[in-house]
Amino acid sequence: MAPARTIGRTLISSPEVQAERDGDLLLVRRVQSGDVAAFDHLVLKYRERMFSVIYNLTSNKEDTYDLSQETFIKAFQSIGRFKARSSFFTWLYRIAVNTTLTHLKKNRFRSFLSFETLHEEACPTDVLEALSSKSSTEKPALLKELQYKLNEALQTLSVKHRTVIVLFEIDDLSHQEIAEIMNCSVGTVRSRLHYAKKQLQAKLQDWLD
Amino acid sequence: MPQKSPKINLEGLLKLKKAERPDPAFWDQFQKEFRQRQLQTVMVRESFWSRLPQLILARSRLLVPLSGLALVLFVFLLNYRGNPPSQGDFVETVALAQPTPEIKMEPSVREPALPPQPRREAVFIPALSSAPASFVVDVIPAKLPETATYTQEFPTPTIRSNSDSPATYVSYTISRDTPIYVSAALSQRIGF
Repeated sequence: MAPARTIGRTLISSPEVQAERDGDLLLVRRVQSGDVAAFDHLVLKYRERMFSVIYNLTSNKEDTYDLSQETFIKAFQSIGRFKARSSFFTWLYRIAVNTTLTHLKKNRFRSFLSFETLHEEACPTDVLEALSSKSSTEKPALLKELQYKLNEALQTLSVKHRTVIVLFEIDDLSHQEIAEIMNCSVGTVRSRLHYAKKQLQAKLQDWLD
Repeated sequence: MPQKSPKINLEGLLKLKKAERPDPAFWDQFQKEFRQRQLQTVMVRESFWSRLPQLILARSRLLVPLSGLALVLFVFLLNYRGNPPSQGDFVETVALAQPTPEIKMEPSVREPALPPQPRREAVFIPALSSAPASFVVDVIPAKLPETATYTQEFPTPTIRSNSDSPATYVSYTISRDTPIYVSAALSQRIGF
């Protein structure tokens, strides 16, 4: 797992990534010049990733739906001010994260979990292998329990620590990208990541090696 | 459960979160709602600019006369500020409009007859301001202790007297009652 991730994250400045960024910028320029339909391409491209990051931060699918809509509407409304100092992808992530953090701050005393469907075919192989010894009737129940425990453990982390672990471990962003999105230093990202992992390990020790 | 639960590493467990995602049908609804909200945003943004000429035209019945009035006022103010009426003009105008009243004084105690003197006039130096003011003259006969007071509307260029005594007018006071002159009430003393 680790080598694959490393390769994925070093591709950030690769020609493929650069071409993708140029493609995004082209679409952004079209939207800025009045082509509203061009924004649909950007929504289609990033909606799942935005949904994922928001869902992993809130663990609530209804809130995630609203916040994802809000994120894209905000991005559309302020795309005229986008100066391409960072990539569109980073800029959009920043809007999503800030919108979600504002929502979480506002509703910190009114939070409840509401999960999305867990697709078994998309589960990581090591988790499935670990569960393979169980009977077919036990497996879905164990997966459900694992999903609940994991979301619960994530929600016990502070918002900043949760954001870092979600962006790094689930969305596969680099330290540099996370630092840009969260407007902090790479060192801070590393330190928060270390602390968050330690916390999660303590919470999920019954499930871990 | 801890005894029965399978063992996985943290990174692997976190990857389980990637398997939590909505069904494909969800995205149709998502996209549909987004388009509606986007359209609302675009309509709000466009409606103002597209309706601006219409708004102006709809109010043209009021706008034309109001603009004309504003223009006339502007030209008048510009002209007025460029050439304000001078103090001399004002005093002259007042002097022409209001004939100087005669000031009659009758001392309560008859003075002893004096030899006739040429008629004298106390000439009032026009004030530096056209602000309204009350003008009080204290007439103190030279030889008798009694005083007589009268009030004359200001400004006036000349104070006349029927008195034959050259030393009748000994003082006058001008007090202005406009706010800008309250602290600058003027008291002067004149004599002959």
